[in-house]
Amino acid sequence: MLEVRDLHAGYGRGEVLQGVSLDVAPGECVALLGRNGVGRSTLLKAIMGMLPAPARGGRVRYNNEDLLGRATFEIARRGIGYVPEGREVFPHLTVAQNLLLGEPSGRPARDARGKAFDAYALFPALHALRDTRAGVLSGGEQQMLAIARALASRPALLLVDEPTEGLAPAIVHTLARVLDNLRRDGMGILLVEQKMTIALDLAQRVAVMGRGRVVFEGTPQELQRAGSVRAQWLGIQGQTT
Amino acid sequence: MEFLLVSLLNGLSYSLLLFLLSAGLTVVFSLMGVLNFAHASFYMLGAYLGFQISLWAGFWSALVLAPLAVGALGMLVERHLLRAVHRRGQTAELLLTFGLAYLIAEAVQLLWGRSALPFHPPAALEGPLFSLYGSAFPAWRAFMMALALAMLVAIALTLRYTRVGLIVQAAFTHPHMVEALGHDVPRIFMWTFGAGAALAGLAGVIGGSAFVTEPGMAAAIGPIVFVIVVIGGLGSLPGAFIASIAVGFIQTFAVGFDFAVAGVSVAQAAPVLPFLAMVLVLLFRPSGLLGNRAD
Repeated sequence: MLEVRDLHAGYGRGEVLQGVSLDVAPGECVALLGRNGVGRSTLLKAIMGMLPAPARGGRVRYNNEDLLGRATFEIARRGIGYVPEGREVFPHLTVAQNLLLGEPSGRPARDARGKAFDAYALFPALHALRDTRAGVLSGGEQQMLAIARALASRPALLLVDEPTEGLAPAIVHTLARVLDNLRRDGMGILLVEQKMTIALDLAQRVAVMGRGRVVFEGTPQELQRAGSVRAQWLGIQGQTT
Repeated sequence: MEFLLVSLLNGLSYSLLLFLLSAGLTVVFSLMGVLNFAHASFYMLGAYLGFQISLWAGFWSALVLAPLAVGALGMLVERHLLRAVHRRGQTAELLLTFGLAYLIAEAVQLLWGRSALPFHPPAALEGPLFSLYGSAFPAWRAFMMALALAMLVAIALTLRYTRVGLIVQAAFTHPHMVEALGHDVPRIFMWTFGAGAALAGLAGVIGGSAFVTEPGMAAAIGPIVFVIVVIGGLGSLPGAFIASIAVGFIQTFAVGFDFAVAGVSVAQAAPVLPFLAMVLVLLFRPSGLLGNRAD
């Protein structure tokens, strides 16, 4: 569904992405790994059309349609959900209002089976907080809200940036289960994740980024065997479990 | 006593007019980061268009149509001028609105000449609403207050309780995230800029007919509106409200006092007082009374 080819992009003068190629299929979670600053978040922003400078080359296609050069809201409306690094919930609005803004049409979006999205069924913890301002929620609650908000429009592809950063293990586990269930239901997920165990657990394929491009692509098992890739691009010695 | 009461009401009606102007300026700034130098020019344009339309179709049509026309112009300015220079940053946007202010001032003089126009409130409202011991309070002033208050309540309710209002509120802090959820943020910017211009146009019809409609009116009120927005805190609506009330009252009351400090009468110093207040605020509270922007 998502097809990135030889993408060159950045924030202006510097070119952060120097020829990235990557695919995400329905029902597949692709984890983007790599050291800080290699351009994983930049790649997600480039797909969403959120970089301040236009891409210098390459292609981003979604369901056989070119995305490069389109406005961010047009890209989102094609069915791509975005959960940014740092959550970016709207702090002065309540949980319910945040969720309302996840539906660009103003009506609850329905999936192919005509089922409306129910954020509170997915994250029961949010129900009691629905009239609370998002700014005072805990990090874990904000992350649930950010994911639920992105899902409210019933996207077919979800871009998730560092969902577990700074969260307690119990919440991390909950979020991982939710993401995995979404994928099993057919959603494509492109995941930027610093925690290797989570990333390898959720992903069917991993892409390791280094120096602005994808330097390794394969299954989690293949990455486990590729010791030199892990040492050079991830700075990990030996096996991880 | 009667002087105090009538001055209070005069001050309040003037304050509300100032807030009608500063509300648009401050909302556009907090949403789009654009400090619109042409805002007072939209006010002037509202007065001139109001005068022209009132000649053709009467005052009440002018009160509705002139603000709509100014709002439409504002939308065109945002869509075709501001958006084009947005990528080049705030300086380009600032210079653009600066140039626009001159352009509007020249156009107004070309079309309507340099002298003041005979633009008056409708005859039905020109008389006094009531008189207290010989001090009259004009009915037009009361209408002005009611209209301004109604607009302000409408803005507050729209921001707080409608979907569009929620989107605008969210875009104050996270415009990129709002757009990533599929909302057409550029269109919201255009409508907001248009709404700000329309409010300024409405203030122009009210202010132009209550005070004076002449080519210097933008230059006269522009700095006052900037002072209000700075004192209140750039981007803060409640701050702008408090500052509007304060500045409106300072200006109304100071001209009525006839005692002198160090040889300068308070009435003479009145025009300077708002600027003095701004300097003091900038010295001791640079973000303004209720401002929270760090940049």
